[in-house]
Amino acid sequence: MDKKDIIQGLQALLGEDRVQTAPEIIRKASTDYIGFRQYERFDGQDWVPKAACVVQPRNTAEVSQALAFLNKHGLSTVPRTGGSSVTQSIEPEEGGVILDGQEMNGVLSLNEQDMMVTVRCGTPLEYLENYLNRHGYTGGHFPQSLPLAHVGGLIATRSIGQFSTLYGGIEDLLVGLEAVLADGEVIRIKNSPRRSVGPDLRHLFIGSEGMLGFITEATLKIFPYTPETRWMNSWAIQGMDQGLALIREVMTTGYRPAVVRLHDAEEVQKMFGDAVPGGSSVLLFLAEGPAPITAAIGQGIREIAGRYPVQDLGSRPVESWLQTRNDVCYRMDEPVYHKQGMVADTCEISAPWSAIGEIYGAVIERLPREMPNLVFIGGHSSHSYVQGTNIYFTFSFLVDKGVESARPDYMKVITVMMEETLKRGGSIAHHHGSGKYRTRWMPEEHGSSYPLLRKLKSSLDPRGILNRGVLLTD
Amino acid sequence: MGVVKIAVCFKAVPDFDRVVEADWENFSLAGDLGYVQRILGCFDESALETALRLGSAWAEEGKTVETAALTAAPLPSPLVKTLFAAGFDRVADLSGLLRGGPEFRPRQTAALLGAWLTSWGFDLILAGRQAGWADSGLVPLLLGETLGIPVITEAETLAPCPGGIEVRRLNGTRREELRASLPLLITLGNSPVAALRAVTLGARMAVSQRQAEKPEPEAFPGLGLSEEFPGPPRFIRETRSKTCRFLPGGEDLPQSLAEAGALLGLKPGEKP
Repeated sequence: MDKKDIIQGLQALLGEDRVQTAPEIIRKASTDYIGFRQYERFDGQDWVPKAACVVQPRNTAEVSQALAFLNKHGLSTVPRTGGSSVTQSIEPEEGGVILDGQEMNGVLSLNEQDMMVTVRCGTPLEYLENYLNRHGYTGGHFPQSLPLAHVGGLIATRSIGQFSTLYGGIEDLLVGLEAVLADGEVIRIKNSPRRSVGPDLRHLFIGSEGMLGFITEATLKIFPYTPETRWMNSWAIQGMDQGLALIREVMTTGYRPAVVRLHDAEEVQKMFGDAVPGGSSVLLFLAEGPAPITAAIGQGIREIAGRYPVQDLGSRPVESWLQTRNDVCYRMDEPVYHKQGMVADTCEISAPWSAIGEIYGAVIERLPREMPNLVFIGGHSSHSYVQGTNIYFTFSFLVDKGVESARPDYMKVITVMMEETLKRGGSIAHHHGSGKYRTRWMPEEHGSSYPLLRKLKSSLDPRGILNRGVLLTD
Repeated sequence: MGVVKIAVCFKAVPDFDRVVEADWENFSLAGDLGYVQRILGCFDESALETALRLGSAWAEEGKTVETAALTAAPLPSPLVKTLFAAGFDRVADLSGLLRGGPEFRPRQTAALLGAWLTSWGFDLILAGRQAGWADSGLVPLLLGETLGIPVITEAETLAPCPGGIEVRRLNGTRREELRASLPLLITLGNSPVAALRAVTLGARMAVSQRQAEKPEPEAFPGLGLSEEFPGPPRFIRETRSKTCRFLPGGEDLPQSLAEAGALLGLKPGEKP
């Protein structure tokens, strides 16, 4: 089917105004914020495959109609909503179609009795959080992409927020959903606090990155909004090992602060400069909830911290972080790093306590050795569990061999992180999703369970139209 | 001109984007902003990078070039390594010499920088047009006056030319190109050279043992460095909130004026 027929077919179904073909609209809808793509864009290069059109359905019925058409003709389709991807997950195939749920937005209902809110897939997270705050609630979900991300994409990428130690990831917050399968069939998973009726079908869509269906509606948990009772404190500590041991003790003892962060000395230099003793890592804690609980958590963490060689930095570093934590979103379209000839980005992995320190150490040791153009490598733990934690690596390198070298050099950095993580039994993506740039490591990531993913795909999307290139190798 | 000496005067300033709202409410120079990193302002970054590029251009012409970066404000240690790794031959930290710091003391700061520059010898001095926050950009002008050399402001690009330097600058709303001979002081404005170059970890490792020069006060007699600084001016931060009240006139005028006086913080009897 050629491009003209695709566009005409979709326009006949949904109306001309629902099918956008302007190159600028297609380019914007295909924009991914992975580091090398940002560099390429600022360097005047556009090497992203060009979709034939962007389809903007207004409701579930239109999504269903569009997908039935696309499936019938076997057309490559990339679902998207907010467009904050940093993993190439929303880059289309050449001549494919982008199915954009941005216009399906808004709160459908707020159920204060059952503590749930139901929203459409294109609802911006920041709008939702502000809406809930006005009603005295919070959604408890604060990814760094909060100013950009929409609900559908957050579910599809298995997102997590900065307050996850208390509220959990999106998988803990999602109550029920509506989705459209590749052939246009609409399915609903009802809202229930818990069920014992077989596998939890919500998880077919949480983290599916749009390859098993298009999420159109979601019901999410809500919580009382109590910023006035927060407890915050920070400490400097020598070495990541000591810091990891401290946060492990906090988690395994049973405390549940909302924020548990440990930044390594390299990141600390960037965040605080000489304000913190040289070579120190910094721990940031924030507890949220009823005052007696936050006070008790604060006291417990203080007691644990007192057993380590820490320096109390007070609450200001946490407050400062809280105030500026999402600022990066406002600079995504500015050539902050390109003007210095650099690619800068992040990559997150996770592992049990027994392995996480080794993974961190191996990456930090190996990268400077193998990348002579490396400018910065650091990392932090930002999401902790009883069993382990994540490391969010931050890195930058000089593009010293021309713009064509940005991508291969970027993948060299990622390869080191993936290899060192897999070698020690960790997981290669903690919360950004696999996207298309990590797909090649998926067989090793999933091991003997990987065929299940293929079986699911062939059952739910037998023609393989949805988001080719994510999660599944060819 | 066998050897060209280029110096850059710069200042690392607190990153005020990271100051929490509660501290803005009671802001003063004495406040503890210890949790806030110090960063380079964009104009100072332009000056530092421009110096390195000019140095390279003169070196390509066969000249010997020496570069120095100096500051009278606290210098973050990571920045010292960055400056050496970027290519500066000398980094001088004069912050320990001005008791009470350089803020709101442009004349003393200029005198100190001038003394160091005179002892080193210089051909070209670059500076940002303004280092940041309450800085009014006076230091470069006073430094030029102290040293008795011409000052060109608001430069955008610089390039070597026979006998000196070619400057493209903003003059009000129009651009102009000048040719000037050295010695000279130039402040960088909205330059397309917007950032100091990034340096690799390897380059930083190679200079890890190098330290900034920290001269003793005795090196600069007659500058009054030991004098006490009376302290910075009191800060008032404008808030976005405004209070509007209508005060009745006529018979109620005296009462209204008294109320207005109280609102404005006047003493009883003092007319608003």
